Amino acid sequence: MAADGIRASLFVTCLVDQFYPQVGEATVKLLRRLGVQVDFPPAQTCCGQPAFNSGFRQEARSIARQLLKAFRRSQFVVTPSGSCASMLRVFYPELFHDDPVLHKEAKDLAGRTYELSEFVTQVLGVTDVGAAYNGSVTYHPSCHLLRELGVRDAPLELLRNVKGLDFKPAAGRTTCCGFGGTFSVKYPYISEAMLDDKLQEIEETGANAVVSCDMGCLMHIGGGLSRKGSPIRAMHLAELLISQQNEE
Amino acid sequence: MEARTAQFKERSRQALSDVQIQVALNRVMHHFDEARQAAIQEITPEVWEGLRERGRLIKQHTIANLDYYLELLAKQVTANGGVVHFASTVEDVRNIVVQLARERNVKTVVKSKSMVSEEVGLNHALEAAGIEPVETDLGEYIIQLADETPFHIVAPAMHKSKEQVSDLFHDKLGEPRRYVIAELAQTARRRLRPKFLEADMGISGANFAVAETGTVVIVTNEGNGQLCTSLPPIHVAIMGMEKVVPALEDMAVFLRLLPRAATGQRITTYTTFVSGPRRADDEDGPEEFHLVIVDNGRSRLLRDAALREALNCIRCGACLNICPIYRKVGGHAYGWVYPGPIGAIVSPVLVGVPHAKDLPFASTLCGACREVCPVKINIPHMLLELRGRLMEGDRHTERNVSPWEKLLAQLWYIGVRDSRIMTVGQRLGALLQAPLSRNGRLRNVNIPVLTNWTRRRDFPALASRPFRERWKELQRARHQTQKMGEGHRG
Amino acid sequence: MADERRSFREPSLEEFISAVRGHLGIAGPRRQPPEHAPLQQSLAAQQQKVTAIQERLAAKRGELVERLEAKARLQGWQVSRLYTETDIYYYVAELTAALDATAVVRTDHPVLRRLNLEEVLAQEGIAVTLLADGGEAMRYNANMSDIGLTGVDYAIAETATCVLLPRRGVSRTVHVLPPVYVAVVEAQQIVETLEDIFALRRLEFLENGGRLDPYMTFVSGPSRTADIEQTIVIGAHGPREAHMLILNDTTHG
Repeated sequence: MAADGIRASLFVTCLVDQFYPQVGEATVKLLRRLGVQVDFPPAQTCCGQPAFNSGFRQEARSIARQLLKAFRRSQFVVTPSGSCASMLRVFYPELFHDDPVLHKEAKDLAGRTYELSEFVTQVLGVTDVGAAYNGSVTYHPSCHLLRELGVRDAPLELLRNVKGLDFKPAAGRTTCCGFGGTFSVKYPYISEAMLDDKLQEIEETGANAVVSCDMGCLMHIGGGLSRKGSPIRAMHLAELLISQQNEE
Repeated sequence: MEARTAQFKERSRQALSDVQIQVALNRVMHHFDEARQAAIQEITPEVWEGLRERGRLIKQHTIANLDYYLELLAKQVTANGGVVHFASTVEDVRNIVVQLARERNVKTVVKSKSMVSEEVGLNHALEAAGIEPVETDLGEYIIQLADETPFHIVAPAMHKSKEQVSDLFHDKLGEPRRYVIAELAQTARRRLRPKFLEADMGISGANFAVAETGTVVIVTNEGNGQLCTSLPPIHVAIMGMEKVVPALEDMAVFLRLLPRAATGQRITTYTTFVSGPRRADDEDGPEEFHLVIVDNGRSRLLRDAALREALNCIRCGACLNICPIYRKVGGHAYGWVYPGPIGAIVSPVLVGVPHAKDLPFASTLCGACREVCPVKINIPHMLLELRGRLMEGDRHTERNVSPWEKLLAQLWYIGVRDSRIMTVGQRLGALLQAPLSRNGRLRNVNIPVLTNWTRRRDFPALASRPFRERWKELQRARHQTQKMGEGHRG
Repeated sequence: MADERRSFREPSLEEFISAVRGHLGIAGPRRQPPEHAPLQQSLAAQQQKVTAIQERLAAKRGELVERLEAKARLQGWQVSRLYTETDIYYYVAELTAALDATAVVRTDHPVLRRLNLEEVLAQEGIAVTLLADGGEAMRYNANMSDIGLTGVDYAIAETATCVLLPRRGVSRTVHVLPPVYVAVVEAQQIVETLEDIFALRRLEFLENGGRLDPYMTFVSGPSRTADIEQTIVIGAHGPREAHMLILNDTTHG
């Protein structure tokens, strides 16, 4: 197996841990299916992005120090979140830019950290995970995944190889869904207006599910869909990739 | 211009419920981006990326050596027979221009677009001195008549419908109502032509100022840039000090970047290069050329290593056009001359960060602006920097955090600092949410902050068993699988 | 309004530049100019560069004409290829007939000077005036004319631009005040790119002891605006029609 001998530590993220544990389970199942040995350092809590994005860098640093410690001995750190992966890869080194020791640790961790879809395609070299899904799906690229990490194709490649899946691309240019972390409650009216546009875009694809690599986006998009009573399902990529039978 | 940046929340809400503004934004915004993309396709994305990098490097070099290049520019303009003025503050700009106008008995001024003149409220200063300033760029003319501020840095009146413009021309100019765009443009031509011919002074902005040759470069489509700088006996160009560019040959890069990023044009109809007043045996042209080089807070960006890159901006407006927040609320919500992503950095720094506290936060940090910026300004990272300064304060910025925000941050920290505390918090929350949750969703909650979410979206209920509890079972399942032997394929 | 003629002093150059240095963290004036390649090319180097450019342009003459024509159409010029200078009379005569026009103003660009436009077109009832000798009358003439006619000093194929350098005999207003503009481009005036034009101008600058002409205009089509509802209207403060006549006449080298 391509992945023999690869050990990955799961960084499950606070959102998934607390609200969407099934996504964490799906991630573990997927990685194991691909031959990865997964562990879960229990001291992990949050990457600190909510504090960092809100301007509370001191608090963000404190939490980041803990996370650096928790994953110090991990060969790889894999996370089912583009925004958390970008926090570790892009912003941890910046957070510690004037502490040479921690900066070095942060850069070291950054070199070992991957978002799930890029881990599967780039590190494991796998684009067909053997999944099957009988339904039509559209994909929402989350902004940090796309523009901070530059991950554009990995999720699409994985989706395209799911047997039976009818892929419905969104028309037009990729636009932010309007979540933006605390933005969603600090500027709710703008966030809602952006959500309306995103929901319209999703509905126009005719897909019966929308998939993304970030639960923040999916919480917001899914929350809007369910409030509308929409039958469209909001799923994390990991959940889709572990499905093996025809669903719905 | 008076800063209303502190009213962002209110003004953005108004914009969201203003039908005309929403119609205008929906109609226009994607056109800008489509045009930009088509213009890039024509030269290929590879060439475009090469230009962006060259533009960024030239700007970075210029700003790092701004003292040298401004001095060279001033020397050259003076050698060309122009007069150079330096203005540190709003008052300096107003005084320089008004005093000059008074000394020359100027009655009427024709203006082609100058955002710096908006920053300092120059029109009001001229009017107070009994001088008539006439905006000649159609969009600026419209908002001058309407007594409004620009809605967009390239298309200042894009929020107005043709009906609104017709009514404006009727009410302010006595023109018959003509709901046809071409006729409205004709009206402006007809009304402004005599102004060009009789004006005593022409005031322009400067898109670029070439230090090597002492040349101000003005990029326009309408022809007003040509007329303002040719007909009146005095031409005054007002420039932000960051507009200087080292060499004449650098202009090839910027003239390829600016029109494409701004309006999707290969080049604008007119590019005007002013290097000084007319020579004695020229047929026409102003006898005097004045260049006003303005700071007005730009030095705050200059001395700030984290924000200095914002001075690379060539004012194309591409970031506004792509920004999903700008596309929803438009320019007036930002409350000052520069809206949108670049405005969220520049406006706070120029008007005072505490007065514009919302601007760095009213962004999802999606990064689209950085992608389209022709000189690759890393806007999202600068917004994060400003957020940090507002909440924590530093040598550039006084802290402006409410006790409530600080409390929330501290509570959050306590909650996540220790996984055991987080677990306890989670159990408590799962218990308390029971009466409010249905089918795993929270709908009607009366908890502050959360209500902002649940107005239009369901909120997920806390899981009864978080992932870290399920991990033990996952481990058990794993060992069972292993025991079943190698036959089980992953 | 109260007269606010309070004494006010502008910052001096020294004060302003020294403040900028302070913001950059630089103690005093720089001992060396910063390194920037385009600024460092000597006169000799610039001459060599321009010679190479001219050789390239001469070798590509036919191609440049084609490219200019194609780009000009995209930019909204009405383009015609003319093969002798006398075709210019016909073009102007036909245009004035089509527009029901009677007054043309022109510059004294060499290509126009060689023709005898005033006499020839007077026979068609068209008044052609060389816009010169300044003053109110000149301004009035330009404003009241139907057509502005110029030669050019350069044309740029990349951007379909006519480059005009105002001087004696070349007013700044001929191409922009009248509602219709006609530019006569001679094939040997065409450069390929923006780099070319700026290299040529830099050579002028250096050869003039570090002085550039006070004004240069790039005209790249008819005037336009999109300020109302982002709807493009051709014809704003400048002309609504821009005609480019590309002259391939070899009789005058």
